[in-house]
Amino acid sequence: MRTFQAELVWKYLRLIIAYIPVTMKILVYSLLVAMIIGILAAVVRFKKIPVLSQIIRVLISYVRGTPVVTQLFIIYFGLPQILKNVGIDLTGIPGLWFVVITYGLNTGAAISENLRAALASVDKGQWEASHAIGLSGFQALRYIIMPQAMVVAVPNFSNIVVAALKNTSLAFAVGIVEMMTRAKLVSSSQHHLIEGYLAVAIIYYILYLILSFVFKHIEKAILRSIGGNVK
Amino acid sequence: MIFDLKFFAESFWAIFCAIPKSLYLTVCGFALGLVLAFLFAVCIRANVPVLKQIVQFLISVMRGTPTILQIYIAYYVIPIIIVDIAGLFGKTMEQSDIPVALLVIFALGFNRAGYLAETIRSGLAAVSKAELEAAHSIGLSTLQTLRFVILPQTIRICLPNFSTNLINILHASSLAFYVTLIEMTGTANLMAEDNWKYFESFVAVGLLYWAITALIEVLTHLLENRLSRHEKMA
Repeated sequence: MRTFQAELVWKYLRLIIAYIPVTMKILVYSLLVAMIIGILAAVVRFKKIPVLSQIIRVLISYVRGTPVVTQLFIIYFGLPQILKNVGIDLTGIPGLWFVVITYGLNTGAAISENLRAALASVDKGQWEASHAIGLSGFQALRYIIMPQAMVVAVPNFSNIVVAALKNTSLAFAVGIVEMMTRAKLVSSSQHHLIEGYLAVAIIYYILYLILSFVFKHIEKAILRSIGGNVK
Repeated sequence: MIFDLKFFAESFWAIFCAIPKSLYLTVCGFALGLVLAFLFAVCIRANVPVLKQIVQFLISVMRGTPTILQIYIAYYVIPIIIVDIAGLFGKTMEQSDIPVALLVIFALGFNRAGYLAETIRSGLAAVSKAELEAAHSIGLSTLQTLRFVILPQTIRICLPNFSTNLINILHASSLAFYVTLIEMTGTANLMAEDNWKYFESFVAVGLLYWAITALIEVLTHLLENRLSRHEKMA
């Protein structure tokens, strides 16, 4: 049995760090898609638009009720298969986009639920009062409701982003070479898998700490700017 | 062909038969997670000097690293540790003797313990000190206080969070396939690889996970309603 070599952890660390950009790319693209989807979905459900609301409700339930890997496989294998019958050929598209679509949907559902809960937490009287003083729906949302909703939404948002970071580690299942895949590749050839996994664990943990730190400060900045209670 | 209905039915049935394995991993992982989380929560609340920092660090690591990574590390590291310890006691053991299910349960339990500890901590904090003093003054022992005063209130508060975590463990158990443990997702993968029909088998497994998740949510809702019955009567 081979012994544990601590120097290898350091060596693998440097090899794996080169792939942080891939992980970040997946994270940022999917977050952008997720924000768009999440805000649209939250608005649709909040305004209770007839058919779209139910469809989105079902989609969100599906996204939150199935494992991420399953969703990944369904879109990675299923989308080309379905579109092939409509005549669109997806074979040339790099796997990255399927991953971004899947994570966009997944994180988007989480963002949409977050926004919905935040909007619902604002007392109904606020809406009535703002209409009473003549603000339109959009003005009420922007000046009265949103600031109060943000207090509830922002803390949870950091959880969502951290979850998105951890989701990126599953992209190896459809062959994307990001940090996990890289860790396995560099360490398995020398049969020092443990050192490899330890190295990539350290990197993920540091990224997690950085993200948490950044979000804590964003939270404080937002709360301060809307005059909220900053601890 | 857009959708092979016959294969869909085949894989649906095969995956349905694998549900018990997934549930076994989920329930055992959750039980382990609860026990660990309770210990962690008590550690933090009791403000034990060094232990509290170590526990907080452990929780931070468990929440900050991907679950698949934790499963991989458990799969490779723990057998080595166990074999070494067994060697100390003079008992020779092979690494392959250790059932993979145990390692996965360990990893899942530790992962969730990090999240559950926070939940349990706030649940415990909800019971006011006055109640504990009152219980002590009417002569209840610590165990009786725990059973009749603390746990009922704590569990009612923690229940929604418990169900979210249970569902998360169910989803995380789908990763067991990557350490060669076959449960629902593993079955789906095997069926798909044999026939090159990934779409059908994964739609099947997706529907089954969705159904189980919905069932857990409904049961939790019912349980919540039943536990807060007395509040509605007031």
